Amino acid sequence: MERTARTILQIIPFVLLFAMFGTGLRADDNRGMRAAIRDYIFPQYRGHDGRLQFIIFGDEAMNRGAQVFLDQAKIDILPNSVKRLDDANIFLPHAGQRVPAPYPIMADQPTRRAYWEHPKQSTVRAWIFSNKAVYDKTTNILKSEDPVYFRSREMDADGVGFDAYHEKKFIHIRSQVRVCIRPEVRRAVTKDAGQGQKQEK
Amino acid sequence: MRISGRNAAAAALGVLALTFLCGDLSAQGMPSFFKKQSSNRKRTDAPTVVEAATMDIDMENNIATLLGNVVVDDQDVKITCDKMVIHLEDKTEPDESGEGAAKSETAESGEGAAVKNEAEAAEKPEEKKESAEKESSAAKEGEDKEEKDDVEEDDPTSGKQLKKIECFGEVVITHRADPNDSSSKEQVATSDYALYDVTANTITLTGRPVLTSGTDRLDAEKIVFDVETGRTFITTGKGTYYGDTPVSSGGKKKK
Repeated sequence: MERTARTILQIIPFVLLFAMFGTGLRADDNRGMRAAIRDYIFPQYRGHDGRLQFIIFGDEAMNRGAQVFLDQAKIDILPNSVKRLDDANIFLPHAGQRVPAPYPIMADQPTRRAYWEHPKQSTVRAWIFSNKAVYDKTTNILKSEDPVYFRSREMDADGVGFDAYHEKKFIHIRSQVRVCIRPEVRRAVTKDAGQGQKQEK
Repeated sequence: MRISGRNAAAAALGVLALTFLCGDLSAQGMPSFFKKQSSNRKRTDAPTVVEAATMDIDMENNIATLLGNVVVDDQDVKITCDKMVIHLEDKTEPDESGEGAAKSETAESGEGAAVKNEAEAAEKPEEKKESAEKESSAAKEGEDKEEKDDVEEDDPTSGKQLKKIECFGEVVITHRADPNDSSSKEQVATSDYALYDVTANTITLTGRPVLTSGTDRLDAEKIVFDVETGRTFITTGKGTYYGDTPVSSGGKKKK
């Protein structure tokens, strides 16, 4: 009798775990575990080799079933040289650092240069920002229907709605795209031009 | 008016020399269309603004694809097309000859460079062999680079530079008339495909390219403009013609 009771007690946690995670959650499933965290950091790793691809930061994340609803989502897109979280210069939301607001798409060169030359950006290749975003755990796609801001050293873009797939570092901006290609992407065709660029750095 | 044969060369180059698509996108990160780059021309830091319906950014392959009603609206030039693909690559410092990585990537420079090389080789046969060897070597280097890129760690602070820009479908390049020059006309180039190859420094129009300026019109099979030298190569059904852009009385027939 005592043995049977012990066995049942041992089984109960597995039954509960199955009830929470093993019921085949769907993307639109609002059931399941709900939890909210503030000042979140979600690193996103590539499946086959575990290389760090994106880091998602923000104010608040709410888990509902297979979806995570994100407020003030900023996604750092990392270069190949950053393989783990330790390699990245990340800002720390829980230490009181706020998600930086995106600079305007037509910001002047000094503003952009000051932004990208900041040590915090030294391990960031580009980033996307949106006020609201949803991460779908079943597809590993981060998506939003809100205005989106993409910023990088070479090219900035504004638009409405996006889908980001960290496995391939692929971003799709859904509509109303406006791109600003910076003059810095011009190839230095002369020796002088090359030296000029070097001095600027 | 449809122009063909030998007369096409004179007419075409005349048209090109005098008028065509002298828009300066170089100040905006793209080259002048059909105009030799002038070293005296002042470059500004103004960016190039492009609008489109949607955009795909492939960070792993350094490719940005703009889809649907793509419009590049600049002070001098307006470009519209269905699809624009922007290829970037790691920034390289120019070598002693000032050509940077351009030589190592000529293998990928497309048909434009091929036509240009062909015409140049015909002009200077003694250099043909050397040129072919260089191309072969460049192709090998290009392949090696592709393999290397997969494992190479990129430095985000070094930045990227333009490799090439492709325009697909209903490409229309309009150079606005100069408001300060009463004799200047609006000039339009249309084609199915346009390639600006930054490495080779050429602009290639293929897919029924047509150049128009006022009542003048030129139909060709392929038009290649060498931005560096200002030379234009026009391929028609009758042959390939080439000439310097700043001439007014036609070019030379190659074959």
